[in-house]
Amino acid sequence: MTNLSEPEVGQKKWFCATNTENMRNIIAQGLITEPAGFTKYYTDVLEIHNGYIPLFKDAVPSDILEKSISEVDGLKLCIIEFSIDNIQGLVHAWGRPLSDGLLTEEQLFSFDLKQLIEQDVDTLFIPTPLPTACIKNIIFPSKDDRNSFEKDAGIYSNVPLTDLNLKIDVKLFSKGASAEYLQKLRLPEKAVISYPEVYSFGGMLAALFYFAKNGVVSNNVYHSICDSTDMTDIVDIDIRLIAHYFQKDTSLASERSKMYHGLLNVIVNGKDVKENIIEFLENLDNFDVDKSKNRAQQLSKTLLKFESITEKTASEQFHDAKTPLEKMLLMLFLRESVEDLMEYSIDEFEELDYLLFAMVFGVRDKFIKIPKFLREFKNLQMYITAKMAAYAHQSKGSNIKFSNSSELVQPLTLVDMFERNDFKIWFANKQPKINNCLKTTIKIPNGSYVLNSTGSGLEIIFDGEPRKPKTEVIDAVFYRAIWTKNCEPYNKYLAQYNKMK
Amino acid sequence: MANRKFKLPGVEDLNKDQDKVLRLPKDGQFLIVGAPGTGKSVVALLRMLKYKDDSDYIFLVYNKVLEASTKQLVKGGLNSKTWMSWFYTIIRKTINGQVPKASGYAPDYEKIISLLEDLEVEEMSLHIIVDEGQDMPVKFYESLLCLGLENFFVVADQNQQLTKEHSNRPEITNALGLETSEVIELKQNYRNSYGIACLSQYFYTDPSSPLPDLPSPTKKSLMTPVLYEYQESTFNRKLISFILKKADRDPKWLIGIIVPNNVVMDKYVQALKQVDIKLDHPKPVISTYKANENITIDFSTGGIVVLNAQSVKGLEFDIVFIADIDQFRVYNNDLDSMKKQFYVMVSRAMKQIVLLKQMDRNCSVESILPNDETILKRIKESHD
Repeated sequence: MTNLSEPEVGQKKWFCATNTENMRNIIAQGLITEPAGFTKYYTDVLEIHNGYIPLFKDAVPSDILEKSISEVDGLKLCIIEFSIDNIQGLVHAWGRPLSDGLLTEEQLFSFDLKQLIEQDVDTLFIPTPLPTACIKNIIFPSKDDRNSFEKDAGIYSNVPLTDLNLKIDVKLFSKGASAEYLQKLRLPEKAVISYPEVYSFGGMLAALFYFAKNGVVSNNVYHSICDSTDMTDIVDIDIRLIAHYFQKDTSLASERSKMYHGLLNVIVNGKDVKENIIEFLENLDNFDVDKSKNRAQQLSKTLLKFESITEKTASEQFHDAKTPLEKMLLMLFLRESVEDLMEYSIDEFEELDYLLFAMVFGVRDKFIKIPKFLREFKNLQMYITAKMAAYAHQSKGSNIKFSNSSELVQPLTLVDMFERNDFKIWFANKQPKINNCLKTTIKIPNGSYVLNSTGSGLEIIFDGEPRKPKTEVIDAVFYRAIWTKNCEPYNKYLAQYNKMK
Repeated sequence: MANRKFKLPGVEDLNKDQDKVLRLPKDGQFLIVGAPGTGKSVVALLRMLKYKDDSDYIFLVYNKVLEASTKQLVKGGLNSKTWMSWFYTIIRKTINGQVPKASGYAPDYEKIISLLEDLEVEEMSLHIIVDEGQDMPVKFYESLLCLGLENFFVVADQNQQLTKEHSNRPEITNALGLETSEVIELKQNYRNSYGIACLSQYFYTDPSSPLPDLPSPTKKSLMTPVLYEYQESTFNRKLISFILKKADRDPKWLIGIIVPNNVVMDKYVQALKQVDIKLDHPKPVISTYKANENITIDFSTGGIVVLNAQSVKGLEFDIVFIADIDQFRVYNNDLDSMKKQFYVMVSRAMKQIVLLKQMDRNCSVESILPNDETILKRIKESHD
């Protein structure tokens, strides 16, 4: 036994290795998971102890490096350095635990991560998943490897390197000790995580963040779901039923909620969503009462007709839709991605329609198919990946949590920024301008005045000095214009907002 | 008009074979083979995007339509040429004289090779990417080697050979002296829906290579390919309105109408331009191309493109209508050639394929069509 006299916590660095193919997948999906969480996985250390991410202190053992590129020829190595400061909860470790003030023999043990400072740990086993927000650096053995990774990222639609640090450190890749002990360890089995559901949750949050621009209701729904607050705040029943799906709330056992639950199951887990929706609606065993069975049959017929025969235009079909659910399904059949949804509008749609569409499109597309420009919004992808990881841990009863830190800043939505009236006015005047949404009141002193017509408009002349003019935004006009406004330059808007603060 | 562009794939959209292709080194000679929709052209374009800034690259395509489509969809100065015009230019420059011709516009490869051998040209650093490589004769590749070219990336599918002077997989492999590791086969169909893939597989003729893999089937097939028989008397009011409303569903969609001859082409173009119905979006742009004309099609916006069967190779459309199949002619009872043509036409469609036939007309391609309604559903337009 050794006396705990020289804490070396300050210098500890935590690493894990993989290949660049997996690394791209991790960035695209937003999470570091067990192999089952990857859409495409190449052998690496993550398959040794399913459900745990081994983090090695100060260096990655050479057999782990070799394993990362063992599946096929041509794979390239990279090492992930983790930032674990914002992770809380019970983890396992290989090392020498502290007992009665003394360090014992090397063994597998578990402890609360906040006690890490007191332990002598070689390898940490953190339950999966971890968000990409926990990645401090991605390290390459050479400049060529780093440059090639950066360049390759550009030929994919979903590998934004925003907020990620790419570094070079050849020493970390040199041959060293091996981790033979790793195979022999027996870690507790972990509950299975439904990754499609986790990624759907992330997709929904990202889509909601974008569509939160549409008004106060949309913004409140986004915040309620992000903060997992009481969903009774959400007045609209259709919106609430989707939110409840992720809350695992079974208290609303109405026929309508069963319909939503069944459809969401299909949308989350299905591969061919349109076909799976029709299959679900046509299977009468999915419904308890005749009214629901009839409704499901009607919906299925409408969707099949909408898909194959083109008698009506899309807007005519939406006009004839009887319920928000029918509109939502029609939209799922009409447009294929969140990005396409952002560009679609008809006069008939209201804020709640867009909100419902945004939620279900995010659920279908999942985090991996969220448009790249959206993931490049400042702080957004880090925030959402942390939310996804927290959701995954919460749903399997793990006590791993992610605390707020400088890396996990909650991004402001446009409506959050609109709380500043001057920013809202600036936004209304920004090209393309939102016409007729500003109203200005000028209070002038009592007495007579003269109104003159000039080349550029009118001028009013009176004795004395008016009070400061007050400009207000007419929300009804302002938000209706925003429903169809492309808000891709979010980062520029945020910069302006910060300047005005 | 709604803009279209080459959509970069997501990491998850590529399989491990495609990943392997993208990991191939910058220099060397490689052949990628695969059926339509397996992503051959996609990996070729991605390779081009990956290396275009640090190497001298040229992307060779089969015809002018494909050249226009590739250039318009891939923004950022893609160096693309039709293979024949590029070949003539480089040979003329190298031999400093007229390119020997065999017949018509076809080069006399034997003479060209002999001239190049006499010149003993130096090695060239140029990297060549060839799309639809099966449609170039094997002597074309031999000529390139004599030109001192060393870096080839060829994508090919011998079941799509539409030219007389084509080459097959062993011929290209031998001509370029490729090792097994330098030939990669792509098997998974990404472009076509299950229904479209089943129909195109029905027209597969190549006995020497296995059938391409089908996309995973679904219990419920929403888009079974259709053979639709229309009445001439309601052509504008029903069929053309149907096509226009289909295009109106998404202004980003590119709808392809593939026609057997110029007469049918004119009939459809005229009707599509003439019919005026209420739509959600502005009426789609109707464009067309006939051989030897300038290309005015804008592939970077959605709309309806009417093309003949020879011009559609390598292109892809959201929805394809093969117009008036009763007008396709089988010559010398060569059903295999007709099957190959249908294989290429059908596999252009990503979401939906509709074969159109005028009612009560004889149809010489009927014998090559499937009778199985699960592969090709037959619908007759109802009389008013």
